[in-house]
Order: sequence, then structure tokens, then C-alpha cells
Amino acid sequence: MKKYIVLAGLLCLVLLSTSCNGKAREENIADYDSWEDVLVQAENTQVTLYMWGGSDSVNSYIDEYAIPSLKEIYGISLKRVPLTDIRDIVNRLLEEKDAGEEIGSADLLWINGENFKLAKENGILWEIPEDMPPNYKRNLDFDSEIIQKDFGEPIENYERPWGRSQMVFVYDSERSGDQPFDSLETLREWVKANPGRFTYPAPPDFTGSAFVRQIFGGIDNFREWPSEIDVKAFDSSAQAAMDYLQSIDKYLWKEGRTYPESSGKLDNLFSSGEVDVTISYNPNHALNMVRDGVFPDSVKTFIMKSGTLSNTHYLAIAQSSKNKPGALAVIEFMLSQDAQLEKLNPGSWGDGTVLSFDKLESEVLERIDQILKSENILTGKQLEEGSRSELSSGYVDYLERRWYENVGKKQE
Amino acid sequence: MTISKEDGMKMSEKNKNKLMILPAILFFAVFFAGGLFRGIAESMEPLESGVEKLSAYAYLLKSESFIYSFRETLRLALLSTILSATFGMCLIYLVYCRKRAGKSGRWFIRMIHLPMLFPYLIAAFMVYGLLSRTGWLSRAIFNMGITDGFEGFPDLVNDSNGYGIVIAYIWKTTPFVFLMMYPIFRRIEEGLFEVGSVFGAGRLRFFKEIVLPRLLPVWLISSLIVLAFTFSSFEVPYILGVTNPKLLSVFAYELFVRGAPAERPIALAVNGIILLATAIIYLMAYILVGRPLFKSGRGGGKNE
Repeated sequence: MKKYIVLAGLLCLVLLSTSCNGKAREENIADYDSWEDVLVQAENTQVTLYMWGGSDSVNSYIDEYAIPSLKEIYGISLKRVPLTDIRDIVNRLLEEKDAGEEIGSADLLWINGENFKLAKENGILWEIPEDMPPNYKRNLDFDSEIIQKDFGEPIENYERPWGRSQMVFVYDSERSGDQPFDSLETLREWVKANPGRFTYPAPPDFTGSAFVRQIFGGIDNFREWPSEIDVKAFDSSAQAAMDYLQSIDKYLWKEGRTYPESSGKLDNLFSSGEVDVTISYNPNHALNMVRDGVFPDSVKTFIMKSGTLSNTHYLAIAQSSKNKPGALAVIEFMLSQDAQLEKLNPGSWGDGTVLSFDKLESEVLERIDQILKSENILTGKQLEEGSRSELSSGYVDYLERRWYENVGKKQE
Repeated sequence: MTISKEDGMKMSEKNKNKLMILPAILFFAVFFAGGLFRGIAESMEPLESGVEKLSAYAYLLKSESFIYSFRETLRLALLSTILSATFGMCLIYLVYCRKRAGKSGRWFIRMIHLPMLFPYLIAAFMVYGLLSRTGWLSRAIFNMGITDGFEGFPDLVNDSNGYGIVIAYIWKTTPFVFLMMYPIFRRIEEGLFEVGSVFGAGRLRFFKEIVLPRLLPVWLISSLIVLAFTFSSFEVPYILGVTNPKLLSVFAYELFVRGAPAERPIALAVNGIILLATAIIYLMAYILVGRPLFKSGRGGGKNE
């Protein structure tokens, strides 16, 4: 019986102590003078990485490649925490900050766009020391826009680029014959000619929200909007995009009465033959799916004549992380040439690289060419020429809301 | 069953049992109740400065999409509850018939256990895989030549009627209702069945007069638990529901995930309303049958 009283007492103690010994530990590790120091502190620690968990290929890249490699190279145990939306952890960190907790639940966050803006503005991200980690300086191009801005938001060392992606459409050349559409006009014609065979995930799903921005960009000619949101000026273009989406609504899957709740569901509808096109913000996703045997070998990716949206995704360190050296070492690893090339491999994750091609040796460039050779997907130049910048993140929320008001919300 | 054992225990053992659950209670108090109260407190925060408290609730009660979502949630929860309560009782009747026929029906009861093993998430995916237009059943029927395309199959998943949701809930909760009643059914003494047949009570009449009254309180309580659960659960409507109207739990989730931090009281107020509704349901359960059930349950069936 005493055992249980002791147990209960211990539990109370643990609960109390987690809230007060945070500060002491924080000061212990505030030494980032040299990279060697950081590595010494990082050894034999655990790092938690919070990330969207909706893709098998992304998950297996982390689980089967990154985790064992990190263990071997730095002695770090990386723990992947899957989320359906990265906003979950941003909200939680906000809560923890409100509650005055010094030690938070996350070290690393896979983040970009609106969530980055929200996190940065609320001070839950750690400002990474200028030159760290070394691979960041060594392998990336400092003049490129991806180092400076994320969806229009200045980065200011609050995150490090990790990968790049671009929106592509996927169709089955055997089932549909020619490429179904290449512009907004041809998309509308095709949808009307093939009622029920097209849909997109409902925002706030990431891909669905991006599709709405893609339509907006197509109508608005991918103009650049000031990062300070100007709703009045923006509104008429937004209305045009909503009009367009409403005009195709009743020709969509289930007459537009409902939309798939996730891009995974859309892939599922595509592979089971319920719709003819699926959408992905990863240009290599279709190849991954072919190699996994989910999509037939006859699928091909395509983009609009006027281009498709592209973005960069990042790794950020939480301000309340208790293991910043470990988190830095993980970023160092993720930005190494080996890890980036492995990530590029469609058999693995198949994610675009942030390495600067100017800084790579010819042998590495050749390896990249080898990795991306495929009949199924667009790569390299074809994609790059059609790559369009994302909208400033302030408008993303606004467009999602407009979509829900104008398109998603229909009364019976 | 533990309740009737407890009666025979010594005082010290009882106290020990209470102590053993202390860590669990502490954990519950700090993490669960703590979170609950914070959530409630935050839901009452004014939406803008200068507005009175509880403005999030006022906003919701005026919001058309919330009312629509509330109505739809209630409709589907009631439909699922009524159907699974009915099916649960039908299953008991089947077991009763087998017993009358002198069979134990053990395999049958094991089969009924089966859905209890799966989480709701899996149940939702199973319904999706089985009943969507390109699902397993639709393909089977198509291959048999009954339908001439996927469009010929009824719209059962992600449909405006919410049939998919109801089917998933029935599959999961019918066994629950059944298994809540089954121990009571088993406690009905063998002798009574014999007396019944000696005095020539027909199958249905014996069931109505002897079995049903004993099951009724548990039946009601388990139905109300099902109602409270289906009203507030998330996974099934998230996967099988439609974009609009969203069921309340999905509605709250999306508000929370998508909304600006200033709007968080609204998302939490939705949860507050869900909480209030479930509290009312449980209170109803307690008033209707709870007290008499606890009184009679204590002594066990044998004292009657």
C-alpha cells in the first residue's frame, strides 16, 4: 500500500518539477561557439521531429534512412511524430507559451508558409545562429529566393530550407488518352465534357488549398502581392477565382456536393478509377506511387501552360526545445549531399533538392540525372520553366475562407 | 461483476483498491480535467476586446452553418443510436432463441465480439473500402453483371445523407449494446426458463415478460452512451462525412486548425456545446435509469 502512496507522490513531484527546472537546463546548453561543441552536446540525445505524416514515402525516408543514419553518424535518436496538420503542433506550442512552460514538447518542426508566419510572429521559433549548421553554408545558394523568403515572409534565420516541390497534375494515359487539359479554359471544357471525373481536396487540406491558389494564380497571372495583406485590392481577383470554381463545381465528383477531405483520399479515388486526375504538390509523387504499385505504369504528370505553383519547405527549431544542439545536428545531416540525394530519389521520398547546383561536383550532378530518369514524370527543365512563386502567406487563409464561404458551403 | 465481488471484501481491501487507482485519478485530474477546464475557460473569452464574455457562444448560436451542423450531427447520432439499440436487442433475442433451442451459441457471441476489436478509425476505412462507389461490394456487383458501371451503385460513402457514417457506427456500437445486456441476460436463472416452459409461456411472451424488463435499464443506459459517443466522435465523420455540413467534431477541429488564434474561443465553444450536450445525455441516463440500476445492480441478480 505504501508503494502506491510513494508512486502518487512521485507523480506529483514530476508534474511540479517539469514546470520549474526548465530554465536551468536552458542555460547549460546556450553555448554555440563552435560546431564541435554543438556536436558534443548533441551526442546521445533524442530529437523529436514533428511533421505531416500523410505520405508513406516521406515517412519511410525518415524511418528507414534518416533515423538509422543519424544514430550512426551523430549518435542521435530521432523521433518522428506524425501529424495530420502541422498547425496542430504550432497551436500546441502557442498554448505552452501561453501557459508559461519553458520546456516544450517539440524540437524540430517541418514547416512553411502560413504556419511559419504564425509561428514566427508569435515567437515560438528559435533564431538559428547565422552560420549554422555548416552544411547550410556549404551546400546552398545564398542568392536564391528560398533562403530569403518563405511564401513572401522574410525568413531571418528562423528556419532552414529542406526541400522543394511543385504542383503537378497526374493522369493515366491509358485510361484518358491525351493530356486532359493545360489551361483554365481547357480544364473547364474537359470537366464539362467529363462530369464527375475531377475533384480536388477541400481546403484547408494542404493540396486542396494549393489548388485553389493555383486557380487564383492562373486567373491573376501569378502577380506578386505585397506581404502585408491588402484585402480590398485582392478581393476582386479572389472573386474571379471563386466564380471560376463555382462554374465547374456541379461537374465535379458527386456534383461538387462534397470534396475529398485529404489528398490521400483523392489519390485513392484516382487509383480506383472514380476520378481521372489527381493532384500532388510533389512532382515525383506519381512515380513513387507507380513504384509502389498503387498507380498503373501508364500515369503521367503534367503542368499548366502558364505554370504551376512551387514552394520550398523548411525545418525550424522550437524556441522551447530542450535539445537545440541535437536539432541543429539533425538539420546538418538533412542538408548533406547524401541525405539530399537520397531524398531526391523517387524510390525513396522523391522530394526536390535545395542543394545549389553551382556548388555541386559534376559527378554528383550526373547522379542526380540518373536518379530522375523516368517516363512517368516531368523533371528538371520542364518543371523549372513552369515554376511559379507562391502567394504571400497572409492571403492563404483568406482564400481558404473564401473557398469555404463560396464553394464548400452549400445548403441543401 | 466486480461490483458484486466488492461487497464481500473487507474494509482494508476496499481502501487498498481505492489507493491503487490514485495515480490514475491524479493523472486524470491534471491532464484531462485540467485541459477540460482550460478549454472551457478559453471558450468563454471575449472574441474582441470590448465585447462581453461568452461572445463565442453567441456567435455560434447565430451562425447558420453551426446550426445546420448541429442539426445534422443530432440527426445522425439519433439514427445510429436507434438502429444499433434495435439491432442489439434483436441479437439478444437471437441468442435467447438459441438458448431455448438448447444451444449455447458461443461461436455466435464470439462473432459479435469481433467489431469491438477494431478502432473506429479502422471501421471507417472498412466502410469506405467496402461501400464506396469503387469499393469492394460495388466491384463484386459490377463483376456479376448487376450494375453496368460504378455509377449504378448507390451513393453510400461521403454522401449527403450520412449513410456511411451511420453504417460505421452501427457496425461498431451494436456489439457494445449487446455486450452490455448479455451479462444480465445470462444472470436470468435457468429455473425461470424451465418454469416458463412448464407453464407454457410462448417464446415471444416469455421474452417480453421475463427477459425484456430485466434488460430494459441497461439497454437504455447503453443506448444513451452510444448517443453521447456518436454525437461527439471524430474519426468516422472525418473520413466518411461531407464537406458541408460538417459534423460538430469535425467542425470544431477545422475551426481550430484553420482559424486565426483570435478565433480559437469559437472552436472551443463548439467543444463546449458538444460537452454540454453529452452532459445532458448522461444526466438523462442517470435520472431515467441510473439510480434504480445502481440500487438493484448492487445486490446482483440472485437476490431477486
